[in-house]
Amino acid sequence: MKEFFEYTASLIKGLGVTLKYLCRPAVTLQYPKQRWTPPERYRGRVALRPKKCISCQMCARACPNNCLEVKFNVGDDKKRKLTEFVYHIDTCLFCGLCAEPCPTSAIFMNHDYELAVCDRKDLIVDLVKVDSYVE
Amino acid sequence: MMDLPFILNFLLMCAKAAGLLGFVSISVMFLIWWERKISAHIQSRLGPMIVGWHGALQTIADTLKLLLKENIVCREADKLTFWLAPLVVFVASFLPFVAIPFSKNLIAQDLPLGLLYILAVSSVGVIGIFMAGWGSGNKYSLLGGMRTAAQIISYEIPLVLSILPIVMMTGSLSMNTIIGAQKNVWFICYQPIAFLIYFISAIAEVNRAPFDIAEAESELVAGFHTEYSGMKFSMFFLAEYTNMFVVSVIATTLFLGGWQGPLLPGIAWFLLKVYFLIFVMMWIRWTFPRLRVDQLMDFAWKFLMPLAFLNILVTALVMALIK
Repeated sequence: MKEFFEYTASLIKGLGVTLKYLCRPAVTLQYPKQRWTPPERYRGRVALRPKKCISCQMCARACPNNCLEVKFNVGDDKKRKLTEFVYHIDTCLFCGLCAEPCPTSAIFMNHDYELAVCDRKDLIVDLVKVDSYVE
Repeated sequence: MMDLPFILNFLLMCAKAAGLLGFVSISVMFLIWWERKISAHIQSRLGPMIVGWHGALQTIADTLKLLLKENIVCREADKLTFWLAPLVVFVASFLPFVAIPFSKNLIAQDLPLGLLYILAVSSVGVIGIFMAGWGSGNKYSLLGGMRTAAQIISYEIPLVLSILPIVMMTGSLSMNTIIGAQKNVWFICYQPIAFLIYFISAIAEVNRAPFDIAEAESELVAGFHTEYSGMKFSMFFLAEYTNMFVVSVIATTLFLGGWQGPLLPGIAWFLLKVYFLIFVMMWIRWTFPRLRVDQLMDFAWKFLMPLAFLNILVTALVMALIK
């Protein structure tokens, strides 16, 4: 008999829980219409501020998957000048290790998470040419 | 009405049937949308949102899709039984509407034995479900059909026994007389245990969770309607929601005072009470897990039935003492 009352009480408790959730707002986002705001330190795609880059290649060395290629010319004043910054999004694991050692904060992770493309080739981009300067 | 010529009488009957059928279809469409919304919000989702205002036209779109679908009959099926089953199930769930008192005068036919009639015709549906299980020629369907037959026959007993005290108190089986007897106090105040027994048995009668072992997805694919698709499947769906409406109507009539209530017109009170009970059924469905087959049978035979008998005994004693 004691069990019976315990079970009945737990049934009512369960109904209470679902009623509480019924009254709460839903967590679903209607995706294409509503967008999610990523948190401040969210790691999306790698982006570059080309003017700041000094072609030191610290980022390329730090990358565990070797998905960054920094190509540059050495000018007459022996300064390196960035010509190409190839980024393989398909092998990138979005760890952010490239952005950490950058001495000039030229490379950073932006908030872009919609990375689907129709062709695999589109996943290999030149960050100097591409308008990747999306904060 | 007897004086009317036969043809007029027949036309009147057809008009009533068409009206009821229209009401049933719209009500079921609304209920399906409502259930999807409730289930979604209980799970912190939004449910259908795209078609119409908050997905209100989703059911119409789904119905159109079901109408256009291919009619698949599997090779091993018993063709005639397979074809007839959805019709039997739906007709059995539709027939009770004849005696349902939507309002004081809004009743297709106030039968003197209305309650008995509703109980009798609505329990024919189990034959249709068993036909579907048998006719599909599929082990899952057959198991689902067998389970339903066992379940519905078991729960029919406490269901009827829980109604009996009300019939004893009013001395009538007519729906409107029973409602009239609750002018001052609803019978749920006199018979709370009978109401609980009725409501639990009713949920089992319409095969809804936590008593939905007939179509237990995790065990039987979809139970008796595994092999059905298109319009025949939607007949089963229609019947399920119509049955929910019917059992809620009986509960409203017997325990909640039917169409009686202040201010609002009778039909509004009636539909409010019925849809509230349906909401409780949905709420229960999205809260509790499914019972095991043996637990289900134990509950009906060892708990509900003795309790219902006890309730009848106590009611009879009190009635004798008061007299």
